[in-house]
Amino acid sequence: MKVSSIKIKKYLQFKDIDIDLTYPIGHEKAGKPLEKVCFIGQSGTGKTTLLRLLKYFISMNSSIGQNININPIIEKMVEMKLIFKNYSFIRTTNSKDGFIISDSKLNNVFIENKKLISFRDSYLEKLKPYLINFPAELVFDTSPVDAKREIEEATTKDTTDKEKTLSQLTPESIVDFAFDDASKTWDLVLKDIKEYQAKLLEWGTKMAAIATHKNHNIKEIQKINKDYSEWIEKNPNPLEILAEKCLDPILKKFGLRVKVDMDYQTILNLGNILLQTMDGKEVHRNFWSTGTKQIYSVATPLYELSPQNAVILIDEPERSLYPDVQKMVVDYYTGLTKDCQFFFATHSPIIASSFDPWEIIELKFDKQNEFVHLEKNYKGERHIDNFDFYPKYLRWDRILMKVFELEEEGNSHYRDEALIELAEIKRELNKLESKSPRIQSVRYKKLADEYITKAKKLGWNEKN
Amino acid sequence: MRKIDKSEIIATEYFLWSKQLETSQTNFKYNSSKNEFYLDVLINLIILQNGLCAYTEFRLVEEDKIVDLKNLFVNGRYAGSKPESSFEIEHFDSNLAKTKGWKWENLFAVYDSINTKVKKRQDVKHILKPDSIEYDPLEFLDYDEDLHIFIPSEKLNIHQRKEVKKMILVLGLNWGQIKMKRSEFISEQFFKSKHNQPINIHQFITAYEMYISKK
Repeated sequence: MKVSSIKIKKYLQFKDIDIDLTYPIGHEKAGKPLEKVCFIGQSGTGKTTLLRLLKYFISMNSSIGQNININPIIEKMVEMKLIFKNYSFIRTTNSKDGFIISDSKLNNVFIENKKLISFRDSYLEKLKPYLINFPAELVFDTSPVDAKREIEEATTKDTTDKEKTLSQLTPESIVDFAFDDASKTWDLVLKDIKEYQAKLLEWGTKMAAIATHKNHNIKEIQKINKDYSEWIEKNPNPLEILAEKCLDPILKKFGLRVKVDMDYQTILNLGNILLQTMDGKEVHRNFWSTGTKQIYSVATPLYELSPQNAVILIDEPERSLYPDVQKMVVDYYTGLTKDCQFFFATHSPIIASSFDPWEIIELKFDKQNEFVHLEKNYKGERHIDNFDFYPKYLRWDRILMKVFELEEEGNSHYRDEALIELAEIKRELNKLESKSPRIQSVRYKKLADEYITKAKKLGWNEKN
Repeated sequence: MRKIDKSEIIATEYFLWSKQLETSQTNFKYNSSKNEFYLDVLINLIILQNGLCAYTEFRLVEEDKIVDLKNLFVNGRYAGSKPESSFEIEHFDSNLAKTKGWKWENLFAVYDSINTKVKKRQDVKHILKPDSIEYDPLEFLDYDEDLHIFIPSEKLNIHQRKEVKKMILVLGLNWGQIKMKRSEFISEQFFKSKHNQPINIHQFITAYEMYISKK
């Protein structure tokens, strides 16, 4: 499922908002829903509120946050166009109890909240999860883990696959980490490890039976050894997969990696993931940096839940992350899933630099700071070549000025005056040089020194 | 910053009214934004400034709309609405805004961000006033083609340079957003001219002329 447009007539601070969430003309995917979107705007413009609206409209769950119920104030004011395969739906609220859903087959059908799932299930393929929400403040439990309890939970559920485990966590197939502890997804890893361990035991039993059989022959032993080797190759240890495919590539930026060299029973007894420094020193969860927790809490669920065709909401992905990690985190998160639509909300120019201009939705207050509107960032036709800025090609300072509309290029109180002085010195130097190019007078040398000192403070502009 | 000739008064009703105030030597607080002549003055100014910000030369109203605006004056009054653009009346000497806010010589149409975020109520020196008889950009300003900033002309004495430098900052001639827009505009136009493409120097004219004179 993907969202292709959001229209808001009037809701809270939003007024006459019409967001086109499709690729523009000239793009190879023109007209199709965007795969990732970035909301930017000053504090208070409603980036997080938009994420909540998305959550509400996609999940059709009236609760958008703890103790926040959206229905009574949203009636008829917002509509979203959702697309899944060949189906195109327009959802809007008709009353506090449900939605109006329009599509080619069902013309204006009223759907109550409780009937939603059956409607969706009857018309759409089963998608679990079809929505994952990562709010800015993720729940992260660092309290001592009751290993036995977690193992028990992970292993006694009468589930046969991850989807069922997940649906037990969230009955409506919505994973909302505003409520759930993201580290709970570790249960899924433990479950995989437990199953893996059981299969290894099966292999061991089989191999032992053949080897100890009184009429065993060498060919049979060779065959089972070969089969076992092939199985091992096709089925690596789940923890190693998680480390290699998901966590280690980014944890190395923090000087960390997943500890994998443990026997399975130790892993299960620990009941939680272990990280270690590059030289092998274990780092207890209580000592993980906030950035490490942030990355772990988003990446692990994204990888383990394997969402497909889902909408993923991530508020402030830059939280507690150093710029070098911010630079890669959007591609990193999106790369952990398949065919999902990501919505990010950010204040970071580095995060914004991962997006094409058509993926950037800029919210802006009007002059009276009363209402928020959508800042149009293209001229004429919505064509890939007509946008006002292209963040992927810009320097960070230009992104701040063009995309975030920061008005100054630096600390103008000091910098602007110093730049004028620098230019005046350069002009004087050029003048002296044109008079007698080869003779460097005392004044010339003094000015040159002055220029170098000032230019150094100003960061040696490339045109110096 | 171009020299501005403000002698063509189209808002004649306002002009008569302001002259009456001047001759009667009335001093009163004048809130221009609420005054009925506000649009008359603003549009008259933007016409005289050919649609450009008085200080930064950033285009505020498209060239082809200027004649239309002129035609909307009927019997000395502006009969149209404000064009959708970010510009407003600015009191050059903000100290006069309280008592002589209606004074034509003190008013300019500027990019609203320059008014509200840069100049605000800072003290001014009249050495860099776009409509003053003495003002000539070539005599008072120079342009650094690498940094894309205005600097005081080397023709000035030390005292004058100091005053001009202060005014460059007060009027926002090198303000971040303006500098960025200007450097991009000049770079594009210069590239086009160098490669025989059509150019249109419809804004930042002073800077462009100074820039090409050094290239």
